[in-house]
Amino acid sequence: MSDFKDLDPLLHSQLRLAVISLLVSVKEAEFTFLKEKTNATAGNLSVQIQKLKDANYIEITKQFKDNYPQTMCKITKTGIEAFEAYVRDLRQYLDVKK
Amino acid sequence: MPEPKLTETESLQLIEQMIGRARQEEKASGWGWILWGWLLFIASVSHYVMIRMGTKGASRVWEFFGYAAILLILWSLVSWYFSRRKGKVKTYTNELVDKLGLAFFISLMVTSYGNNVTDLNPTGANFGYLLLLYAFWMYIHGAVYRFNLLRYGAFINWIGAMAIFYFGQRLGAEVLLVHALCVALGYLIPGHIAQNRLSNKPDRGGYERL
Repeated sequence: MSDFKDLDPLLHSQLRLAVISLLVSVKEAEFTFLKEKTNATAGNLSVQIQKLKDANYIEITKQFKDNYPQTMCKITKTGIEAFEAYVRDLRQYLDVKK
Repeated sequence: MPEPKLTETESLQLIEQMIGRARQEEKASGWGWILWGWLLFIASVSHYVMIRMGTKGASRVWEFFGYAAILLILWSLVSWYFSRRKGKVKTYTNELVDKLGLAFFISLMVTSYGNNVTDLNPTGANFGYLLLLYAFWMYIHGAVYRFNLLRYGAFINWIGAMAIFYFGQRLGAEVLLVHALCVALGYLIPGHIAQNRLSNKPDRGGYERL
């Protein structure tokens, strides 16, 4: 029987993994920053960050800055743990393939 | 449209790429220490020139420096307050550096006060202690931003401090030139290089493995 864990399906997706990798490196980031760095469309990014929020991997705060709405995203403790587990599992897969 | 399936290698590459992009946000322009460096440099050189010219009350230069430094600190605090909400991203590094800057200025103020009340200023050793403080700040800042010129600047300041302590009062007014030289090499040159890089490559940040 294989000892390998399945990779977290929520993170094993291009855009969601990109967002989590960005957020794990910073304290918090604006939606526009994530859009700029991932080259995603606003619609797609909104859907994906909502999925991450539903899983409690990130926190989303909506506020106003200079009369414009601002959406701030921040990784949660659960998100950090999930990311660490994902990287661990990924390494395990890659080690076996060598 | 279904999402493209990621392989394990692609996942790892994507993580590295995104972490790299996030790190590009860890940057500082260098303007702060250009101003700070020029203030210190001008005060040191003016004081030295005035001593050599026999000007009475030459040390009052440092009073004016103190006023300018207070204005610079106030300006930094005001610009920090107004810019803190403007950034699209907050990084742990930039937050750490802000706190380091605050700790540096508090230490500097207390050291300057201590040098005054303990009558250390006429001995010249006060500049040695100041260089130690600058070096500490330069080394940490250089390490955080991976900006080697600042780390070299720190070593130059440590050497300058050693020279001041070793030669003591034998240095005389030349202690001001040692101080000015260390400031030029530790603050001004790295600061101007960082500023130059930032204006040429705004996406890369001021310092990166120089």
